[in-house]
Amino acid sequence: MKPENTDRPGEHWSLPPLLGETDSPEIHEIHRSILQRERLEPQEGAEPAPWWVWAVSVAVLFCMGIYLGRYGGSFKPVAHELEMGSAGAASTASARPAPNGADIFSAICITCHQAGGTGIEGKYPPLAGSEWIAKDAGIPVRIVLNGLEGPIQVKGKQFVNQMPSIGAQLEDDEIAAVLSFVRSSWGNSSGKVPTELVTKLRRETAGQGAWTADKLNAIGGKP
Amino acid sequence: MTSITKELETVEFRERLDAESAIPVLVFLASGVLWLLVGSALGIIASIKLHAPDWLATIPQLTFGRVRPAHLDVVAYGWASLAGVGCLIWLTSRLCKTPIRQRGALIASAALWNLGVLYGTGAVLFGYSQGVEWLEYPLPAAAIIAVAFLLFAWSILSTFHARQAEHLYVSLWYVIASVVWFPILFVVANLPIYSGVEHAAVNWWYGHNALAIWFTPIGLALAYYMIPKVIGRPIYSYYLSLLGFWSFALFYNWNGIHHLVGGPVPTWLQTISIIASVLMVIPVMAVAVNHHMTTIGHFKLLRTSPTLRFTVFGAMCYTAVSFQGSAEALRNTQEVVHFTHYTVGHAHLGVYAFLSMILFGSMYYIIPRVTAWDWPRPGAIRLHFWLAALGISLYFLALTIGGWLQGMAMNNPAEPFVNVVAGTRGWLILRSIGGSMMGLGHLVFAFLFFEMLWRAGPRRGASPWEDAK
Ligand code: HEC
Repeated sequence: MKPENTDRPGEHWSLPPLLGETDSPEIHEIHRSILQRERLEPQEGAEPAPWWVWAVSVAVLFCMGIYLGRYGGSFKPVAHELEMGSAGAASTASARPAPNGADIFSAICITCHQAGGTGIEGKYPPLAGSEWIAKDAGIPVRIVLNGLEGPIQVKGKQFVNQMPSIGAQLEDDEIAAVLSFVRSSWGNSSGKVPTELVTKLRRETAGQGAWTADKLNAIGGKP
Repeated sequence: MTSITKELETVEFRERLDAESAIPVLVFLASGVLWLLVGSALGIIASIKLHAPDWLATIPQLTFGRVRPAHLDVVAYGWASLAGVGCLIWLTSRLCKTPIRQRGALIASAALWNLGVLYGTGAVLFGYSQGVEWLEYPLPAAAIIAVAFLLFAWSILSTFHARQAEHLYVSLWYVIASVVWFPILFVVANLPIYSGVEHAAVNWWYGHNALAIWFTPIGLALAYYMIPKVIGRPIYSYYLSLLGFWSFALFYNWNGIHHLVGGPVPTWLQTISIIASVLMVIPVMAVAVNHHMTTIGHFKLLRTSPTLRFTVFGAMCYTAVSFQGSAEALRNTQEVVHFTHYTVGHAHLGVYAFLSMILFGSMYYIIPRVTAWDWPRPGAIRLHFWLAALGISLYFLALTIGGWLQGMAMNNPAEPFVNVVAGTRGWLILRSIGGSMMGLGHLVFAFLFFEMLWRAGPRRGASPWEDAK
């Protein structure tokens, strides 16, 4: 290999004339002095890598192998299934933990009915102390299953708005859980809502549009 | 052989290398510095809007949803990429010990690249974003940038092909690898063929890889060069360099899906990306030990060399941000920090405290060699360093603490969401202060940079606060 510069010994390589002072011998001098002050081009040293670097590497690889076995989801195309239970696919439905009413409330109802079930004056009626959830458990179950619209009196205040049907989003036991939670929180003290009631009403009210306060009163759940 | 090697190390030879790369290097660096100013302004506007939401809210082009992605794109594709390319051109010529090839292609590349960023950012601000994070630019803008990148890659690979160096120094491994990897990544990710969950997966495969196989190799290549160069001793261990590079190449590309932990992506894919993120401990440890053992005993040079000061700061932040990233990918951490400002703090520790600081450091080294002028005003360089270093520290701490608290509060079902939002306000104000300090630092730096371009400012010659006597 022949270095390219040897054929032009001693030649000056001009830096581009920049915006200010133009190229001159003086500029060469500055460039040269900068380059003279420079140190050697970097090279690779031959120290061995410290033993603990290898040790840590192997340890991390080992731990991650275990992690893969534990959380690899058997390489199935499903999300949110960290491990496959011993019963395989059949376990998915039955192995689901019992739903937590408070969690469902804060995942869904809280956006409208607010933390503490206070509602918002003139927009969303309160759940805390509401007469509609207190008496017949069938009434709030119907509201959650199919929605509610039109004028309604809650704790002496008038609301005219609409609540969407939430039936399709939640399983029967989830509706039972969230209503049991609502009926026993913030001073409310009506009993638990059984899952069977939700199942029964879901069947009976299939195809039913949103309820109105009048229709609910007619059913007899009048507060 | 040795006489040739000596020949290649002479002042005359390096003078020639610098002279031949000067114009392309300066064109790229100058564009980068201008985009840095634009990007800082956009970033500060976006930051202020988070605690003063009504400010500028009536101008559609300056609403948060547009300014924020525009900031990201400008600093990523404008500042970091262009300044990075400028530095890599110089570095490649030095390491291959041969003048840079295809200079015309480089100038065309710079022109196209600037055009692409201008067009793409304009499109984002005027509402024509693709709506995919990191890939906001409409296809034509992305295509222009892809062509610009290929021209740059052509120049680097031709130079590499014509190399006269006998040994390939570790920095060069990173440069060559990223120059081959990135165009493939960029083109594949921009193909208009994905939808749904798959699109999200490709999106984050790209988003993280933009850092992994483009920005990080730039930063590491420069750090691997600047630290031993300024100190004047070889890099500690070739074996560590090897371990660092190959484990980096093996693991980093798998990390992206950790952005979707908890999302509707197959479990195994999330798990694999978490594993790869944790395995990044290996390359990071290798690089950190290598750099630390090289610097050890020479820390006093940090006082006199701006290059070393910025670069070592950046290299230390590389270690910090990577270890943080490994921990952050775990499901338990994600439960708290996902969708919080914490993530934003992490991103800036990476792209600013690591990459941008190393870019500054390298530019302090390279620019005198391509302008034949010594940096004027050491005081201003110090000011730049402290504004940047303290600014990013404040920025990072505010978002890390504030983001963690935000995540804890969001996980508490009894806490109404608006309280959580209101609770971040103080931290966001601190972030704006940190960001503005960084912005001020950039003004100082840009002023110095343009003085160098004009060969203006006080003549200094050799004096303390300079690189290697
Ligand atoms: C999208 C907003 C919204 C969501 C979500 C919502 N509701 Fe409602 N809810 C309303 C509105 C609005 C009304 C009053 C409708 C009217 O004016 O006719 C109402 C009324 C009610 C009522 C009867 C009035 C009262 O205050 O007692 C009950 C009971 C009720 N909702 C329970 C729930 C439960 C339980 C959930 C969660 C599973 C829930 N709601 C989710 C908006 C919502």
